[in-house]
Amino acid sequence: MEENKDVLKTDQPDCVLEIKDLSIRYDTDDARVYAVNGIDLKLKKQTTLGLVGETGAGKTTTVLSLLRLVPDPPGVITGGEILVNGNDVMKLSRKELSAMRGKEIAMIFQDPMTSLNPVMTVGDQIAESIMIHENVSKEEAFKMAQKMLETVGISGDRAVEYPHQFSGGMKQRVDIAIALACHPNILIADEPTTALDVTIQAQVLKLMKDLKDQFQTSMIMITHDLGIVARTCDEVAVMYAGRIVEEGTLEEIFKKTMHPYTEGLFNSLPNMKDRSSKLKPIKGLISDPTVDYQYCAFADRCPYASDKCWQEVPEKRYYSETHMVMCSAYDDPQFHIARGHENG
Amino acid sequence: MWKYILKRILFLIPIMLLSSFIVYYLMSLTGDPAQAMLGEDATEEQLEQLREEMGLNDPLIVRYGRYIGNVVFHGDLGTDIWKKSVFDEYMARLPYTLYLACVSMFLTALISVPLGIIAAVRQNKWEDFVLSALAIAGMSIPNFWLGLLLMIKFALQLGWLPTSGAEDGVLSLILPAFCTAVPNAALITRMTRSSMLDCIRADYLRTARAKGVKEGKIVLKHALGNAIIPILTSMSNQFAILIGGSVVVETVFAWPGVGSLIINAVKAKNTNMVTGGIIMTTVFVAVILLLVDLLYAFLDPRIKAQYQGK
Amino acid sequence: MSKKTNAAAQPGRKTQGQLIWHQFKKNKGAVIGLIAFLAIVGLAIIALFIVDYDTQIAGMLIKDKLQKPSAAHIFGTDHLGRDVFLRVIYGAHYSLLIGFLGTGVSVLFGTLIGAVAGYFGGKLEWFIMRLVDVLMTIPTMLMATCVVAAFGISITNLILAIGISTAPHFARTARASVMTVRGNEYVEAAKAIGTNDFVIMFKHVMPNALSPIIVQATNRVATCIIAAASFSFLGLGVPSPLPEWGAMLSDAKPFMRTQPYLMIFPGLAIMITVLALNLIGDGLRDALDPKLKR
Repeated sequence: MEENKDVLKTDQPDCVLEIKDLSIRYDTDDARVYAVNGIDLKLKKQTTLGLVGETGAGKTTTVLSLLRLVPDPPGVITGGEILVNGNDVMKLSRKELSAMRGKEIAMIFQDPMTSLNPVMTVGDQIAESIMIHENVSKEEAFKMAQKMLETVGISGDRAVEYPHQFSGGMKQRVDIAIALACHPNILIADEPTTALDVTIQAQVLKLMKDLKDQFQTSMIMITHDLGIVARTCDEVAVMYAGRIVEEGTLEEIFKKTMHPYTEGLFNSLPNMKDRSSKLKPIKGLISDPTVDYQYCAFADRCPYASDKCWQEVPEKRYYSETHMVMCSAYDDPQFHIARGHENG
Repeated sequence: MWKYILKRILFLIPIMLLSSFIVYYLMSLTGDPAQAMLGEDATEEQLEQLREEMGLNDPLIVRYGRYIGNVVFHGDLGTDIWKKSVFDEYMARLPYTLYLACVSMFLTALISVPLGIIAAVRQNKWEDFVLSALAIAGMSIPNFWLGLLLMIKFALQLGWLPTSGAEDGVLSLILPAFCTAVPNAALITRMTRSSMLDCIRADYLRTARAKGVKEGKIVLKHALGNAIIPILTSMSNQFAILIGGSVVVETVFAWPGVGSLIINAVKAKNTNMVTGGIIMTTVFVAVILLLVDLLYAFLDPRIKAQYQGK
Repeated sequence: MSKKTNAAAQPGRKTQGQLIWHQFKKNKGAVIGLIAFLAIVGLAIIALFIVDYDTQIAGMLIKDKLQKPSAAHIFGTDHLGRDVFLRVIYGAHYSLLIGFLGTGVSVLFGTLIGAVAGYFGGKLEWFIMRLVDVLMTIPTMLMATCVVAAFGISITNLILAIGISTAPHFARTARASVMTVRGNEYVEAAKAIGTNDFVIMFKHVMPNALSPIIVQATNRVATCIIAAASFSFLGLGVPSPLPEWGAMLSDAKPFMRTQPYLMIFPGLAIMITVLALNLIGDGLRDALDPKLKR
């Protein structure tokens, strides 16, 4: 595949979110964890970006930093810039930060069972967000909260009930209602359906898609499930050991896969057509987060690794305006991975 | 809801009967009340006669039944060795113990909850370190020793406060309330701190921050709102202990409460008074704990739902 | 790098006990507490040998009455000319004895019945826990008072009284702990291969359920010491002229105005001992906790 050296990633005007060379580290009593290691990310208007990777890849830490919610201590942002709607998040005052959270950018967390306050009604929890950002009275905010519940498919009468009275799937809907209550233009969903049953998963994903269209929200969807990526995302970024190893449009990632890790992820999926074929997991264990890799972190698990992979951090190469790969194997222009080339 | 309350009250009755029986039994081992009443010079005949009169020769169960019957139907706990009504004596002194317990608890709450919150919020910083050190030292101080030291300083040496009794109104209350409050406050400070820390790590706080809720509100409304429930459990337990256990402090300050009443009765071998006093206190404490338990249902919506049968 | 990932694979892997100790050491307060406590025990033991019973305890030779602290008598002397310092260190052994034995009684009875209740469940559990409820309704100080009143004033009775009054609390903890562990799968596994119930209880369930009990027990020793001092102060515990700290405070009462120093040292001894135990308790709790929770 031809590397397109002429394409520069210029600052596109329709970018709502931009991360430049972000690095985040956790300094704990036992060890130093290199969670995020120099990533660049762009989120375009009304686009859904899928952030894919195994547990511990640094996805959650990355998105927490967008709202400056990385626990500090022990988290330390060691470098880079985060721009939300053009504003540098790290430079905001406490007041501005509070105003931004929930209003410009909102987040849905992974575990619906614990993300709601047990002693407040769900209506109050939604209304709280509204009252912080909109200039309305308590009663009006509560009414708006009820409307929001309706929007996510829950009867408005239930606004006076407490979280424990709702099932997991419904709690997640409440989370969505809280997040979208002030119509933010950026929504971060951190594995929103991982803790839910498969049937509920489908419902919640559909709900999110509908709302996204209705409110014209841009979304980052974190998941390790490629099926969800296929259903919901326009663009994909694949993360490994705190680095983005491949990114591109949905089609590029699925049909023109380039990075060995991405290939490994696809190979890990059972082959529905050939049920008797063996499962092909990626060999080895997830990389050690306490190591500050000055070379490719995937080298010891990569079937295509060569000496140079252990010597330097791979370069970022662009094969189209949107398709980027970080892999030293492509120093050789003839190199290709097996996926997509099975038939020669 | 009412069904649950009724159930709890009904359940309390056999427990009260059993515990009062245990007390009654133990106190029956203390010696011969007839002897205590008539003194050392009494002859065997006089003693036997008195025993017959008082029904002391009946089996234990019968005596107990009679005793309880009197208590429940006549409110009569018998008379002590000086022929005074146990019930009257006890009730006369109960308000003093309650008063002391309430003031002490109030002081405790006033000091410890804010300090506990500060320690939690400033975890591992110097404020936390100092407060935690003070707390662990405070809970190691025997309350009666503190009382004695304070008495030496403020009553004997400086003369600002009375050394004993309850005659001087609020001034009399200060030392006993303070010395019982200090170790309790230390405990509650620690409890508040750990309860808050548990809540501070909770996921729902992260959700609240992501909504844009300001840090102050996060601590005081979201975290404390949840943390307060176990804190209140501890405080209510302490309150119950205060009522049942301030025997020593009451004795030190000659505070006319039920604690000192019981201790003086024990020393004087005033069996009926001891029996009656302990049983009354037990019942009282149990009722208070029940009320607190019910109060919980109102505070924690999850528990409330449980009892409403939702 | 390899230290983290390969810790489990190393041949010289630490035992549970070593891991707990390692964690305990990290807590400076706990270590100070431990050192202080060992010092107190050491002094108590030494005291048993060096303190002359007749002069310092029984006070048969009355001289140098009521002397302020000085080089000869670091803590001063009391109204019978007894050296307060010597009495204080001698008195340590009463507190320690009553504290540990009292807690021991508590733990033994309480844990046993609580564990049985938690393990076997059903009617047995119901019956035991109702009994526990009944005992717990009687406030501990009053319960102990009852026992002392019934059986007389002596050290043994004091130990029994304090022990019995706090046993129900251990029963509750033990039951809860056992119930948690009982549900774990390795118990199922042991049952599946036909292991006798009692063996399961002692070999598998109890060692794991012990942690909360250990922490609670450390706390209890501290409260037992204070309770013992309280009772002795009231004249219902260790009898005069034995220099139990609470009793010494009671002896000092008549001299509050004139010799206030008599009131300071025995109480300070109680406080330091209890503080040391509390520090150790905290350290133990934190050291055992990560094993349980994290």
